Amino acid sequence: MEKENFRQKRQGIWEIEKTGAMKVPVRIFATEKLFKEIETGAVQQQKNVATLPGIQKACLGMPEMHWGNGFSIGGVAAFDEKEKGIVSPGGVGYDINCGMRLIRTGLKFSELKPKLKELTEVLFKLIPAGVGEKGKIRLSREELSELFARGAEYAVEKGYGWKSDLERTEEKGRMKAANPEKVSEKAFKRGLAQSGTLGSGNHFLEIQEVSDIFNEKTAKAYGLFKGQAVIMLHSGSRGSGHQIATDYIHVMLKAMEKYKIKVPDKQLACAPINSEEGQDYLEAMNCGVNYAFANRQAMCHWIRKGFEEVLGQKAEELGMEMIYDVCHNVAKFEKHEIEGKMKKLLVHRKGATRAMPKNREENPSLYITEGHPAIIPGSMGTASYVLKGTETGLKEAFASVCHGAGRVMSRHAAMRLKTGKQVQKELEAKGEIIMGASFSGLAEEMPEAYKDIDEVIKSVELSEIGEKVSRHIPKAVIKG
Amino acid sequence: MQRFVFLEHTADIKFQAFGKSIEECFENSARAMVEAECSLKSIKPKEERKASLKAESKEELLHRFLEEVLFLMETEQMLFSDFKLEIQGNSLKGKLIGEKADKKRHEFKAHAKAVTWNSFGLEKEKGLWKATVVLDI
Repeated sequence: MEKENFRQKRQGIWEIEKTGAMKVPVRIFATEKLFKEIETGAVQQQKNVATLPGIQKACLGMPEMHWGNGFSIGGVAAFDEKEKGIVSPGGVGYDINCGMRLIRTGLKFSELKPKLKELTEVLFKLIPAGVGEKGKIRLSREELSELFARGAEYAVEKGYGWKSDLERTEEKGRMKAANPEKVSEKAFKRGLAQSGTLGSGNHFLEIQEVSDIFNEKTAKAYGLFKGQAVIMLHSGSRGSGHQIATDYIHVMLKAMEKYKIKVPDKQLACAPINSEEGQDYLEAMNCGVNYAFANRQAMCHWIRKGFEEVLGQKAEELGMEMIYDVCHNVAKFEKHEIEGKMKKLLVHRKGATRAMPKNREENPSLYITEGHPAIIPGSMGTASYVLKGTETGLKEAFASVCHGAGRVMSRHAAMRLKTGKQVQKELEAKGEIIMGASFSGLAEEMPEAYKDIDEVIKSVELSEIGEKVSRHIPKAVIKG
Repeated sequence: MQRFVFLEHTADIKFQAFGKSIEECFENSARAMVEAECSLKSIKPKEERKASLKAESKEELLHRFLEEVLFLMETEQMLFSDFKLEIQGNSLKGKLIGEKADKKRHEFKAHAKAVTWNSFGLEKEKGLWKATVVLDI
């Protein structure tokens, strides 16, 4: 990468000044090691984003940043409607509200261990995973419309999970500005086929052991303790979200001619926030967000059922409350301070996790004194973390942290290196149970194909945009 | 002539597909997309689906055609190995031939979420059509 254009702004923050058509600088939060690993193409993508109308302060790159479609993955960009700011489906990504859910138990992992294999097998049966796997929930078109409009709230009403789950979900599991009329028939059809499925690729369900607690007070508030068994879920809006993104990129490509917006890459297709096209996308995107919240809610319900079946106790008795559910692919309106003024901005996070510090209104009341958890998965077979936001992160990173490890190796290169069976054997030798819907899927997601999650977290700490609360190691993995 | 070739890409799947005619280039692009998900050799020609599409350019037509193939694969659990297309101007009509996915016989490699605009292109060079496509997976 062209390092000469970058200067170290302060520890853990690298900046490229605005040049040419760039309206703001590009800032990357990373240790020197990770900064050096970032591809030139990914930096160029963020430089392109920095040229978009109405962008505020800086175009940001998280430590795991890598080349994506239009916007790089691990990127944050905020736009002001009053300064001709835009909304771009490419800045959210195809998997709208791809996100994380963490469920606690009151059990020590050592207590669960004798039943781990049986439990994993039962969960693998309960939760449809992998390519082409149909969901078990049969929805009518009207029901899906309701689900698009009301998200996890609707799922809970239908008996999937507990009311208290909503309090522990970002936006209470429902984006109110969702309008199913803005969702195409194709997106409805893709949504109907896949409700309640995990998906494929890097989506997973893990049973983990909390290996380290870094902040006792916050961990206690979140319901975490050392040695605890917890369940982590990574999934998104499935085909419906992918179709909403696809549809609105076509809409935006046409809208750009109308609004005379020029972008250096078609994948950055966008429209002014206050335009009809921009508003339509946001209302449809929120349906995708709600679909994903409901989807993770349904899976949370089945996880509890699986535990009840194998352990012979009620989920309530097992202490299986949710810790939090947070998305890492989304655009949402938030108030941020820009040059001393509070402004309402549309913050695009693509492969970045919101991490609001304590006292911000976006926190659920039960986490107001700590700030909500930001759930960060590692790659398959490596550690995951729970972080929390900081005042520095709010000021300098629009209250965002990383979203995971970030790929370094192509899927083909990974498959040339090892077979899925080899990957499974290696992880099993470490004492993990792995169940995957396909062996090639396992090979593609091997830990070597990703950046080092511990280094990613070190970057967050070094730049002070987030703080570590706990570290978890995987014990059983279900892969799509 | 090579039908298609997969290229290196860190996070997604990138390929180029070729054809002596524009129809052949479209057909080979769809084959490459299916191959990314499941081996073409394992798919039998048992059922047909029809496609009829219009766009404002040939490039957009290819994009919409691949989106249609992806949509049918996902919503009807279909796999296609053969395509018979007719393209006139910026319109397309044709048949997609294949069978319902069967977990016992078909091993799935990856699932495409979408056809992106990243590096997307359709061009004619020395009488040969070439498409460049990146699938988001």
